[in-house]
Amino acid sequence: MTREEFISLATAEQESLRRFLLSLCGDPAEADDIAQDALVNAYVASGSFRGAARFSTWLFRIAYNCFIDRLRGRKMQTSPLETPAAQAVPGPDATDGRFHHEDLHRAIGRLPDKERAALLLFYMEDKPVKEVAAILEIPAGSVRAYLTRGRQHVKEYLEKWKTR
Amino acid sequence: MENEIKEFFRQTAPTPADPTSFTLELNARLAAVETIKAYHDREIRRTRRIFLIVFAAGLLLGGALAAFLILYPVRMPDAPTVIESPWFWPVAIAGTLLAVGCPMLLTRRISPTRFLR
Repeated sequence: MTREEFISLATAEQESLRRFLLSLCGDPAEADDIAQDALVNAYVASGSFRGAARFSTWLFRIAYNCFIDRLRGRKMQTSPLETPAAQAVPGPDATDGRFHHEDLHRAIGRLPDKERAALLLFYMEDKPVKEVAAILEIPAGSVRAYLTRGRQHVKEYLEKWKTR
Repeated sequence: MENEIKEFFRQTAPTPADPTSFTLELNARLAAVETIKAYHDREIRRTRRIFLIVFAAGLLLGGALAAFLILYPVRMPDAPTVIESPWFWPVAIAGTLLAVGCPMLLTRRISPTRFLR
């Protein structure tokens, strides 16, 4: 794979990869740094990419592993995402109009890593269960279990906040 | 229900910062990787070449030493069972220098990671 080919493939995935990492770790600078590392690692390993998996799956898997490495190596703390946009978007089931985007990300930020990653990939990035399983390197059944548990956890957290 | 959650996640998805600076940084990093890769490939080629030269020289010298030992046998007074050639010492010294020089040449490689520091 030439550098131009790689860049064109990476550009197509860039936004969704950065969004996923941003939601995963909560810090925009850290997320971009992980994305850069992941893309460089992918470029170095691009000779071994045979197209058995989709490029995006392969890239997301590398990025997720980079995130895990960083988490283990630096004892990075994931934090809920706080952006100006966080206050602006009301949820569809917001009855009092005070339910914010920020609440959702705070709730997601408190989930275990794999659960959080599974939820984000499935719901935010719209990836099928099979692909999520390939990215997280776990069986599809485990992904379904993570999704069920994750949904339940998010629901519990949100209800707790709403009652405050 | 699933679709509603998906839609909600999509609506509340964070927007990453300006992609231009990200792409510029990525290009710079990929260019650096290419430089390191090229250097690394050059070093591998160089090492392979040195190895082949040293291997060929070793074969030649070994063959020459064996040939001279056979062609010009000299009986040593102190060690009557050992047969030595007058060429033995020059060839042995050259062989030793080669044996010492070969690993030195092979390990003289500079680590490509020094560019990352």
